[in-house]
Amino acid sequence: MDEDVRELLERRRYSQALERLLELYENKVFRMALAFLRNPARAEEVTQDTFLKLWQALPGYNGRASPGTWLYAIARNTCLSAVRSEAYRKTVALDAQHDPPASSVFSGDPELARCIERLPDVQREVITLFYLEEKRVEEVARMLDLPEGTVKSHLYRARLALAAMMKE
Amino acid sequence: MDCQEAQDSIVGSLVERLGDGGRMALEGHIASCDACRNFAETQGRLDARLRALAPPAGLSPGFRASLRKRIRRDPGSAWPDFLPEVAHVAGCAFAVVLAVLLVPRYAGIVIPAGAAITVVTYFLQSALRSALEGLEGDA
Repeated sequence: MDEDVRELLERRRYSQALERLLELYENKVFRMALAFLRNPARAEEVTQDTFLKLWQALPGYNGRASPGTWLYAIARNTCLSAVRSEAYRKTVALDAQHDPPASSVFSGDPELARCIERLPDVQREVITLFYLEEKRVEEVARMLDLPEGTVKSHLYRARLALAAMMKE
Repeated sequence: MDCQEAQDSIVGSLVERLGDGGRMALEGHIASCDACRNFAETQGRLDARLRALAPPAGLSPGFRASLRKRIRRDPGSAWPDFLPEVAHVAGCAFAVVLAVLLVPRYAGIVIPAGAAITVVTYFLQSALRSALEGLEGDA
């Protein structure tokens, strides 16, 4: 599915390549941003930032990685920068004065959402993406640039931790 | 199969399907082990709850329009907007100067004719660009 994008990039059809990448990946990048940031409005901003950076980088695409993998790398770095940014830390610090916020990603089950919030970051991201991506380990691994075995291992630990938290 | 292996298989089965052999061994163990049966039930309920969680809101309807606007505004994403105009005027000026140098006798005609052609083609290329940008925006 990335082959047509690669072909467009080789022909320097950058606008068309961007449109195709948006069709294929905008929701996936949004879900990734949601898993990292846990705030739909912020996740949408970061998704825009990601595609803007992609647009700026398209002429420099060297074809080593598939366009999708390349886009995920840009998205991951953009999400991590957003998480680290001073403004975001300030927001979290303000929120931290109260109980840990229930995840806005999983809003239908407040108890479970609170348990997910208490997981270590990587476990929370993996389990969130796993369910948002309809349980496709290989897609989660590609998004987070982790080996599939590592994703499975994080899922395993996250499930055990969640089951233990639910018993408390 | 011992309890640790059974519990690994239970969690593993929620990530990917077990092979026939693994599934039969697990079922055999669960049939005779209350602790692992409880573990399987707990994990099954957790999986169902995780699956049933409300799906997140998608991207807003204005996402792409807003992205396109940012791309157009972004100075680093393409050539400067005024570049075609500058290139056009510079090209025409160069052609007029060259014509004057080659045929200095007709400079009185070449300069006003060059200026007129520059103005007309300037408006033509502006109109063409606007039409193309409109088409791109509609797509």
